[in-house]
Amino acid sequence: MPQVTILFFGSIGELFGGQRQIEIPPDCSVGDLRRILAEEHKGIAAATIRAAVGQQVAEEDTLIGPGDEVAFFSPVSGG
Amino acid sequence: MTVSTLLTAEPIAADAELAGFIASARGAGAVVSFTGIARPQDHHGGHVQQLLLEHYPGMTERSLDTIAAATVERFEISSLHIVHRYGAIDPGETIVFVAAAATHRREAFRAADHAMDLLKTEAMFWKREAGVDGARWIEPSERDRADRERWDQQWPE
Repeated sequence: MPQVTILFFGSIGELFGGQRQIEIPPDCSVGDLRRILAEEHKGIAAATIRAAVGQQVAEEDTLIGPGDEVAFFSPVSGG
Repeated sequence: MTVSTLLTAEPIAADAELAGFIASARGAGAVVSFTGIARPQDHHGGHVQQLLLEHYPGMTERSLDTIAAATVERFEISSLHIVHRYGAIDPGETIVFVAAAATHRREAFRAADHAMDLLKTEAMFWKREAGVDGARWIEPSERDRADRERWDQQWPE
């Protein structure tokens, strides 16, 4: 099973910790990974929690490849 | 056209940034700058001990570049400079500095305003206020989103 690094930013990071490595099933999409993680904390299922794959903002159907860096993050705010 | 963005953990000296920007903006007729400063109080009047700005190395820098590019594309400015802090910030310290230079003032005002509205809603930062009662996450307010949406509407020029 491919292994990926997942990073968490903002309030969602308090639920999952800053970073973890997990094995994902083949042809796993962002939505699939979100459902796997939601078994641990439902908070990640919220539409306000966005995702990035390979440091590019991703959609739910974006596929995750072996070794990809995936990030889930709460609403952003600078300034 | 000169565009620069900087993400830094070091304190931002807004006066020095502005002096440097004006010196480099030779030929412009107008320079507008904005300095965002960490407030000592939260929205409920509570004492803020520290502001913590989390960032995503790589993606955060690119988000600043994207905001700068969208701003220079939209307004007739000759240069733009954005400096953003990350990490632990004490009340009174500068979080963000934006400066725009143009031939005439209106475009410089609008460009700085536009860059700030995008920074508030699209820059890749996560903000937490730490006070005596613990810490809480700060997300864009309705006002921030409304300010951002103004730029999606067609404005009479």
